[in-house]
Amino acid sequence: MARLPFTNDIRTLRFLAGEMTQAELGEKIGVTRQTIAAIEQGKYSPTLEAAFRIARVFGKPLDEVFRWEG
Amino acid sequence: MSFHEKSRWIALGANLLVWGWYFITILTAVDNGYPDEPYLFGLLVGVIVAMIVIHVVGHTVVALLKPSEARTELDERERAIENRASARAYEILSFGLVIALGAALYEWNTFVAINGVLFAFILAESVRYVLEIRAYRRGLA
Repeated sequence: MARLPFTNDIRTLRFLAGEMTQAELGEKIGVTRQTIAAIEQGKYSPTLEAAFRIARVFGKPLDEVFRWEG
Repeated sequence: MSFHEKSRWIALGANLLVWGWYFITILTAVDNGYPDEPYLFGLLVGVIVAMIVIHVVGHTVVALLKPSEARTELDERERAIENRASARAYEILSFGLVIALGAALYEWNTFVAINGVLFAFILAESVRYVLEIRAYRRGLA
């Protein structure tokens, strides 16, 4: 399976946000724990809406959460 | 493993087990001459009841084992997985229906028509489950 052309810092940001779990983040943006895990591992490209929701949870702009590496 | 991935494993297992048994039984019956309609109807009813029981029991057990993850609505990744797999399954179903109906026209009888269409449908569904499980395991990148 091809890798996505971008990476993300969600795992680090979760840690910095009081060791937030994948399940907690998933609940805040309306997806499952498995979907957060897939995003972190680069196995799933979230919709723009989900990406904005994740960035908003951490209070960061989008490009501080997701980085283009294509 | 999410609830929906487990659900796909149950559905795939049930398809292979129950419908697999059905089609082997049908092929065996054809070897001994075409079975009559009451036989076919009885077999179909039995298979449908078995499928319902397996799905209800399987999903109930999975939900009871992890109630916090048991839910019916799909999230965006699960919808994407389902849409992609359904598109491929639809191609298989269309192709299978053409073959099944062609075979029924070549040797027209209700038995060939019903079972050909049924086989195309079950094959497409099983392929959909396999593709969904693969996407759950390997990702959608």
